[in-house]
Amino acid sequence: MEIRLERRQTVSRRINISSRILAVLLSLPLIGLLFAAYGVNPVDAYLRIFTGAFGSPYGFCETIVKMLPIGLCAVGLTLAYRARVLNIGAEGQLIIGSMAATWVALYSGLPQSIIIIVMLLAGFIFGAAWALLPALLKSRLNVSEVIVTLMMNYISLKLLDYVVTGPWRGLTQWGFPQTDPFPSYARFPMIVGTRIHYYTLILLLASTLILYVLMKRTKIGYEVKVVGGNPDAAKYAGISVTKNILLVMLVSGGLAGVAGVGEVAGIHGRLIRGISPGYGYTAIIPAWLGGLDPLATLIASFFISGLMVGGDAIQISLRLPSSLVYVFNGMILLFIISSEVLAKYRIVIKIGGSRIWI
Amino acid sequence: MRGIVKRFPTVVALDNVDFKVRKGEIHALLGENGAGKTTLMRILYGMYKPDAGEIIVEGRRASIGSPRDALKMGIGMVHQHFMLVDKLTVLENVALFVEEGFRISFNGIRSRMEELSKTYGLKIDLNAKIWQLSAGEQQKVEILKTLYRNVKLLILDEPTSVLTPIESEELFKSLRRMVETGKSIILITHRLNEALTASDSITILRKGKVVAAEVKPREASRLDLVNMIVGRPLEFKPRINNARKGGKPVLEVERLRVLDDRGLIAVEDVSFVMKEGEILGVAGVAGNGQRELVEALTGLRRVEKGTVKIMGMDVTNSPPKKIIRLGVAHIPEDRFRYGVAPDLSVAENMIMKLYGEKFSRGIFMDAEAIQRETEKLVQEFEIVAPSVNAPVSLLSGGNIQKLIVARELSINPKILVASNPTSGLDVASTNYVHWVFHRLRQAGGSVLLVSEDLEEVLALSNRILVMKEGKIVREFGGGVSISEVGLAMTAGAA
Repeated sequence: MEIRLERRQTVSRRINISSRILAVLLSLPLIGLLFAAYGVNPVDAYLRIFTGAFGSPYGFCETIVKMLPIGLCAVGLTLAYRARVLNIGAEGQLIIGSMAATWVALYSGLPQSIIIIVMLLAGFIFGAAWALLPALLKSRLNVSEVIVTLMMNYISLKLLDYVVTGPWRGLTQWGFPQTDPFPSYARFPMIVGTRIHYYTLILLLASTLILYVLMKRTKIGYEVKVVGGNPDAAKYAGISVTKNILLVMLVSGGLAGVAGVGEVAGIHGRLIRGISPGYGYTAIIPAWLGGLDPLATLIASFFISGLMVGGDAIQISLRLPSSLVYVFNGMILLFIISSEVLAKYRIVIKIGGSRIWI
Repeated sequence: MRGIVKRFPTVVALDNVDFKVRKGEIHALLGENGAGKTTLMRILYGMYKPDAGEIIVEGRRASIGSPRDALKMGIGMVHQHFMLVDKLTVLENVALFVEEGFRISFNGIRSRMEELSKTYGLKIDLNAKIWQLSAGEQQKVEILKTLYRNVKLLILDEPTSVLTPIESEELFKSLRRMVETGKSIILITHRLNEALTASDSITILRKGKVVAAEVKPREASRLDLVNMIVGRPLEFKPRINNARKGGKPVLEVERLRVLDDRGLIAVEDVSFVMKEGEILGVAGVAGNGQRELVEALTGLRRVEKGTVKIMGMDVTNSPPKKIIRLGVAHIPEDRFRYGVAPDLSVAENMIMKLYGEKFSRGIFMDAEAIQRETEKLVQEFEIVAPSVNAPVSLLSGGNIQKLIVARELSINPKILVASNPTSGLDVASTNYVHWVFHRLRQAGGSVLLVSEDLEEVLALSNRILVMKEGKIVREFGGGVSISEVGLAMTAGAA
């Protein structure tokens, strides 16, 4: 018997999807070992995760609530990653977006009728601006965007800590590191009986659709793809690499900023320390899991959010450490990246004269 | 090798091929792009498994499952694209290739390497980093690597495609020394002259079959070989005599200065005018500023001093897009650096120059037009590809070159800047490209033909500029002899 890899002549959509599903499935037994090490029956744990996330109306809605920030960051990242601009800074861009919206809500003194629009715009603009610096450094001086965006996450985190413990600390908050609550006109309405702030949901669905069409059908999408495929060839074809790097960074940063607005105006109603439990990092997983396709990424975001909600559930009911969910996420990312091999190559198993391939 | 068959999903690459190399000979393997030369050699080197057939090494049947097996049996291969680590030194690269347990003895490797390079006349600085070396020097490293492993049979895949004429001569001298010490060499090539002058025996493949085996170069003429390789006579005989007199100038270059990647002057004080309806050849040994000149003309490299005018318009340091819009096409020297985005499909690469005009409506791409045009060009230029939606990285080097040529000609250029346009192309495709250039000239277009292939430059050009050390040292009219131009390339300025 002989096993080897053969390059696929074409990569079909079916193979792309099935290899990723396989990756997720393969990661399950491995995490199961971890559950077992904690003395928990893995099958039981998975059932609880699943029912916790999708099994009840409450769980389902909470999954959607988490999907809003993760999804917004993730679909934005698909565009950047297509151009091979590896933005790791969605977390920081989200935080800056939430801070900008908070300033508008509490300190701008703008009329009630336009305040929500301005908050969203401010979130987008400041999120985008936070991505502008790494974009400029990359396009002008060829500085690695991975390092710069990552470092800027820490800067934004410290800025957030500073404002909520310093100048913006709420007078009515008994010294907690958070701002005063937003006035009601600066808060996003929710679908009754849930915490789903539907403005953000609409924005998520709209941006997913727009990015999908943008990438598949438009000149901009084509340019981004060529820049990602070979920047020198792009230059040679008359495509501005600088312009495209700026574009994808501004869009992905802006969408992360909007996600931040949703968190302060939709969920917390104020700015708090630790506004994001790592949504911007988590979003990297669905972007790759969805094969950098916005629609698939939206679905993957839903799935990953469910995992987080389910993770919360087992944390409480099985007394497992919450970081296990992050181990879970990391494991899945590892498997997805490895599964790229399966998408590009086929496994050929030869037994005697017969040939079986997958 | 006996009865070798290799099928790929869409084609039979090798159909019952027998191939024999004798000890102590240089054996040339000739054939067009996609004839199966490289596939056959990759089977011998253990990179592919044949679907049928057997390999016999020194009288014994061998099972070669991987390059590692091949090396153990004394078979080495130098690929067209070098397998070296850029940031490491020559010595470190050799060490990587040597499998001797866990510890590396750099001193041991160094002394062996010095001995080998002396024996075979392959001089190289062992401490130089790979990225500092020219293509020719990198090739020496590749050859030394295999010699270090004591190969008895060395396969070279189109070794001269990256070499200057002088470097090629040196290479053949080294190869001669190797066969004198009892080694055997297989030379994959499609340059007929090489096969005729440097080899002891020739095998010709066409469409996966052997059409002639063990031809003695003394007994064959150039024409015989062409007929065997192509299977039909060539259609186009290059002519140069019908240039238009007094055409309008389309490209005017004045006192140009351009720097290379290291910031040193690569082009200095270069001035020339190209007219409507002429093919202007630029001859020179590689690395004398041709690349920098071409990049400056097409907007890819900064002009430090001087001016470039196209159609009378000053385009000095204009962005590439503006230059493309004026009708300038460019076949780049390095097809992988500029020419294609390998992970993108054939269609996506084919529309790279006109995506914003012909292939889009408003902000949207016109998928139907893309499909239609790509299929047309693939057919016209006989590009072998699994499908127009397959990634370009699956195509052979020659077919990628055809794709680039097809794309650049599809924009109906007024000026075509072509750097080594036929490098890696087989005889028939080269002939086709020459014919297309000729047709472009007849239609009033102009071609700046920068080529290391002197025969090509001489056969097509109305005028020839010779570049040396960044300057234009001579200008020739048509009808000049190859030795005159060759002399100007290497000797001092006239």
